[in-house]
Amino acid sequence: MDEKMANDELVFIKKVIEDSKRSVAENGFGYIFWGILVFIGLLSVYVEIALKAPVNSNLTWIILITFGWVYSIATNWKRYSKKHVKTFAGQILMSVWLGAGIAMTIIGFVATLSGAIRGFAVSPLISTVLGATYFVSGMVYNSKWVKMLAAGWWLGGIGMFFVQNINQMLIMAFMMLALQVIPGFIFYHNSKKETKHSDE
Amino acid sequence: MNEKTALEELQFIKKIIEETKKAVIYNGKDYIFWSILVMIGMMSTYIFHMSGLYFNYFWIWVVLIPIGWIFSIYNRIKLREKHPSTYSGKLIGAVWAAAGIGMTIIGFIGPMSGTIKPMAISPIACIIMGSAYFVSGKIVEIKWLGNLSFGWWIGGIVLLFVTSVHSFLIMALLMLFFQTLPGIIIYRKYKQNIAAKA
Repeated sequence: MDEKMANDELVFIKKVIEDSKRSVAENGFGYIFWGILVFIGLLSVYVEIALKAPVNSNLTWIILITFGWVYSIATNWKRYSKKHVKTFAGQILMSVWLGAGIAMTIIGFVATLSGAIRGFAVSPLISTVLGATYFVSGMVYNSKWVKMLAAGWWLGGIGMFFVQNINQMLIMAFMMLALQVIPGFIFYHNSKKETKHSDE
Repeated sequence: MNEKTALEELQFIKKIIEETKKAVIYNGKDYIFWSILVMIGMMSTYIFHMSGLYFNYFWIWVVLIPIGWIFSIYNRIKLREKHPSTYSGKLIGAVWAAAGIGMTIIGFIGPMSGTIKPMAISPIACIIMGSAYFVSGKIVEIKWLGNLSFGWWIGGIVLLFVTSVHSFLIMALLMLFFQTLPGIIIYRKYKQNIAAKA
């Protein structure tokens, strides 16, 4: 193989890797979507308990989480059936978030219904699970700032274990904005830049 | 580059990637060690409670969990010395480290703060284990390993409703079937792979 051919091979391999990287590039929509859903749910609990407003937060949660699951399954189904090439990293990310979603749904609904955990235990537990999920996602993206989000969720979870009053909902809602919705917008911005860059 | 060469190159790259993916090089010792530790914790709590020996059982875990972490770190260092780390291997390590950190926070900080009842720790740990197995199965592309997640999730849901002392016994059995036995299978496969390579 002469030098030119070797160079061609390298260019080709680089292109394959770049394409693969781009398909892993997260558009951030899932982060923003779920972040806003949970933010609304948390505010509904706060409004019901702290402000004594006529809001049924249990019903709100059921509607929000069911809507979230149906929408996520439908959009991912569409997205993945269109894509001919499924990257390894993309598949792992999907399984990481699917596994976390199942765990959080069991904790949020079954665990509270069974009476095994109190209402004020849900947010710190979810926060701890999210920490683990962001940690693995950070490894897949090979991104330090995503791994740092994991530390934020874990520290927030530890803090919330000691806040056993309604203010815990506000803390969790704030964390949802800071550690989920805003990172979602950063992903969105990066993915736009990546698409623009690859189109040039 | 003509089409035939490109195809051959692609096939070669694909083969290398597939081989790297499969070469997770995992000896399963963590699975076995942790499961034995947790079984010791569960069974001793169960036996002490059944025989009327009451004390703060929390201290059993204060001893066992650091032993587990020290072993896991030691095992990882030893594996790194023996085999080069692969992308899949790193991911598996991240999954179990993250699950371990999560379970340690919940198991220690939860009851210390008074937010989590001690009886709720096992079911929550089961639910997290389910997710860790689910992702691990996808990483190594072994269906049976991924399917263990359903055992953990169902076990966790059942344990949420079992508030008696028997929950310790159920958790020990879950550990035996969904952690120790898979760990032994992985260890045997690892030994076979090493022998084949030698």
